[in-house]
Amino acid sequence: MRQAVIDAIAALSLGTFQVSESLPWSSQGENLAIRNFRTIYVDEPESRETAILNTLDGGTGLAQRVTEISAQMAVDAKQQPSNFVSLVQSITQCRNSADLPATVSRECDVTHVYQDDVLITTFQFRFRELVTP
Amino acid sequence: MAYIYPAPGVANVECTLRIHHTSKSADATGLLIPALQDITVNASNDVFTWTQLDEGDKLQVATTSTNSLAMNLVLEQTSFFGNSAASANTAVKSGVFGLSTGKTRCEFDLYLGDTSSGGAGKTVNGFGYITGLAPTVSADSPVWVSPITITVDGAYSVS
Repeated sequence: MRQAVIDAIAALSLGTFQVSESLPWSSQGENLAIRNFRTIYVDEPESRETAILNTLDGGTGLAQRVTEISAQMAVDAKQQPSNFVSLVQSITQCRNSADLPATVSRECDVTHVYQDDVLITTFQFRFRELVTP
Repeated sequence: MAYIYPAPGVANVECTLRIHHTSKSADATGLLIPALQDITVNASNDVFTWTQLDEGDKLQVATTSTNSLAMNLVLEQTSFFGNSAASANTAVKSGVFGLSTGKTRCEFDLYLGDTSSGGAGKTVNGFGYITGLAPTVSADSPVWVSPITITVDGAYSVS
C-alpha cells in the first residue's frame, strides 16, 4: 500500500517537488524531510484490526482493518513554492488512486507545523478495509 | 448450577440453528445457518381476561401461544441464496431466501449451546416459516445484514 501511495504521488505534476522511495528516518534529531526541502517522504503503514460484526459461530464474523500511512514534506516558510497549495490538494486526492486496494473509506488529513522557518506538512492517509474470514 | 453458556466459534459448544426443508425426514442434512448475530426465542402466551362482580381483581387464563424465533444474520451468499448444485427440495439448495419466497414449511433445530459445567445443552425443535427478511446495507455499514424470523407452526419441543 505504501508503494501505491508513492506511485500515486509520483504521477502528479510535482513541479519542483519530488517523491522519495526512502523512509522518513531522522538523524541527529532532524528528519529527512527537513534536510531535503520539497521532497515527499512516505512512511511505512500502520494498521489495526477491530471486530465490527460478531457472530454466534465466531469464525464468520467481520473485522475492520484501518491502515494509516503518513507522508511528509517540508518547505521554506519564507518562500512558499508557487504550486504548494495545489500540490497539497493533489496529494490529498491520491487517496482515491485506483492502484490502492479496495477499501470502504479513504480519508486524508493534512496538518501544517512550523519549526523555525520551516513549514512541515504531514498527510495522514487512512484506509478502512473489511476483513472477511 | 448449569448456566447455558455457548462459546462463539467453538464447534459443538456454540449456539447453532439448522433448518430442514419440510422436515428432517425429508431433508436430513438441512442447512446450518452461518453468521447469526443474535437469536431471540419468543413464546408469547395470549391471555383471556375477565372480571366478575364477586372479585376485586381481574381473572386471567392463558390461551394459545404465538411462538417465533427472531434473529439477525450477516448475509453469506451461498447459504442465503442457496446452492444450485445441491439436491432438489433441500434447504441447502433453496437457501434462506428461497425458503422464504417459496413459503416453505421448515423444521428447525436450535441448539442453545453447552452449559457452564461443560455438559451438553438443549435443542429447541419445531416447524415454521421463514419470514421478516429485510436485507440492508449502507455506506456506513457496508456489509449486508438482515433480520430473519421463523414463525413457528405449533409448539416447541425441547430435547
